[in-house]
Amino acid sequence: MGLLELKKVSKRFGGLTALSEFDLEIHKGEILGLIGPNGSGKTTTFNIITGFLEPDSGNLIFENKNITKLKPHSIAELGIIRTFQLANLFFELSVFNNIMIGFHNSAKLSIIGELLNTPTCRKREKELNRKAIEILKLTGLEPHKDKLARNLSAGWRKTLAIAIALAAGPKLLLLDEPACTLSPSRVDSVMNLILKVRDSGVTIMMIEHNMRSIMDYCDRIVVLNFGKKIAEGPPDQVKQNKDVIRTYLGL
Amino acid sequence: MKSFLRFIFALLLMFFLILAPWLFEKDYYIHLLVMACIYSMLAQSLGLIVGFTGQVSLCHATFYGIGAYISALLSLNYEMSFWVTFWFGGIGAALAAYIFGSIVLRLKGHFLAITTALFGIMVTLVLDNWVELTKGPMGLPGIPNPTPINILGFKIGFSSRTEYYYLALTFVFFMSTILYRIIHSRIGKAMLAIRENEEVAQSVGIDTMRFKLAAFTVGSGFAGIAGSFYAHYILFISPVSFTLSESINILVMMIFGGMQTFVGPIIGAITLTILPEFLRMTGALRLTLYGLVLILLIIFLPSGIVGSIKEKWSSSNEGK
Repeated sequence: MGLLELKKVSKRFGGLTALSEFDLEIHKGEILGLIGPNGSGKTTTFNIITGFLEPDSGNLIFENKNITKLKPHSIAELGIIRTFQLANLFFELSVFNNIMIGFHNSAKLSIIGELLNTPTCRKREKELNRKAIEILKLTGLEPHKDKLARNLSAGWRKTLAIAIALAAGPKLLLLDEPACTLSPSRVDSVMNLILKVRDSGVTIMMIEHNMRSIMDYCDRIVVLNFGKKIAEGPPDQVKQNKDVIRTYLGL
Repeated sequence: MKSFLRFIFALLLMFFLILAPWLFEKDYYIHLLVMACIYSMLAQSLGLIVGFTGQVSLCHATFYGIGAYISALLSLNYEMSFWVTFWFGGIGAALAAYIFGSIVLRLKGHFLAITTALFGIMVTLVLDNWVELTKGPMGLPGIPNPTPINILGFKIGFSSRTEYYYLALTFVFFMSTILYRIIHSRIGKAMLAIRENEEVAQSVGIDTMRFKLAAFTVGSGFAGIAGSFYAHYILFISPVSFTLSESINILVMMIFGGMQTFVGPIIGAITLTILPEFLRMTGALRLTLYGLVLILLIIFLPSGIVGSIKEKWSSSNEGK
């Protein structure tokens, strides 16, 4: 029984079939890589899992709960958190506040409490401040904490996107190309961060084009082409798969 | 040190605001102060919607008008006192905003701006043509003053402008306190998140529709209360006071002062209520100069007066 299951999920955009009868099972505690050529349906898969798109047919089951028709914020409340391909951040706010907003899930809001700034409320914010600093330390963002997000370099933006997602308290973390546009040394530090996150008990699914990091860090890989799954298995096995070689090398 | 300076500044400001009516002997100047207070309520409540939540609303004057009409009609037809009707004005405007908002707040950017502008025009048409209720373009004359109240033995009869000024100041104080609390709470953080990036906000579990609707409802409700105050101060209302151009006027005040700051809209409201009066001595050139000032400001201080000061302050601190 997987943490998240996709059952025969299909999605069309007009005449284009973005996903057709995609079956997928994500196991607790693994790092699952999702690869495939451009336009093969990877980001569509993410959008469907997180509720930004509704599938035309098929079901999604997360921890024995059908989440197919839930809104994005309700899915996030259940603990499925994503990042976006282009590091989407709260650009005009400081790095620290970006992370503080990420805690939205873990803070139970009561209107009266918020308006009166009750002691429980203040205590909670203090606790969240402390947690935010932990996340800043874990991700290495601490020296930048007072900068506006828009002033960060591309590499740190990617890291901040992950940091916001961590603040949201994920059980399943979906990373959309966490290493693209990064220099080789930054790639390793981001991948190490992902390993650390996994070791703290978070299941991870990531889309990535950087083959070296996919092969080195993933426990299992799923390959998509034209919306269909063409291979699934541990990296070594996938590397040998004829269909995969044909898709990537055009042989 | 910084908080100490702030405290001193707030204290001086408070003294000035309380003493203000005694500094001007002409009744007309006090009238301007009262109008500045009304526009402060409007600009600041619009700031919650546009500045902090990022939803461009071009129908703020409409909710201002809805509040004014509800309040005026209740006191004219049912002889209710202002102290009751202003609650109805506020709640009525908030309710209208909630219903309208739950339909249109899924729209973004220009589309939302155009739709809200059209809603404003629609309501103006209704006010103009529902003659049995609103008396159409003739307006509603003879709205009663607030009934006299006793505070610690002082009888306040609302017969002079100074008394209205203090009441307006009290309203501004309570509204900005509530807005301050909203903005600096987790609710405000969620609203900021929506302004900055709606998708990411959703992805961390923020129910964006709920918070957009909350900002729109609260902001418009406050505009309704301001409208109710206006009706019982001017004692006459007609649809021309609540048109699209008035909505734009409020929007300009908010942007002028700095819409992403807490005090900005108030500064904008005060400046733009008083500035046109100074320009009166230029005669026919008045509106031309007024327009010129606005254009220059938008070019050179795009984030408004207070916003620009804040940016200067923080960049000079970063340089050190």
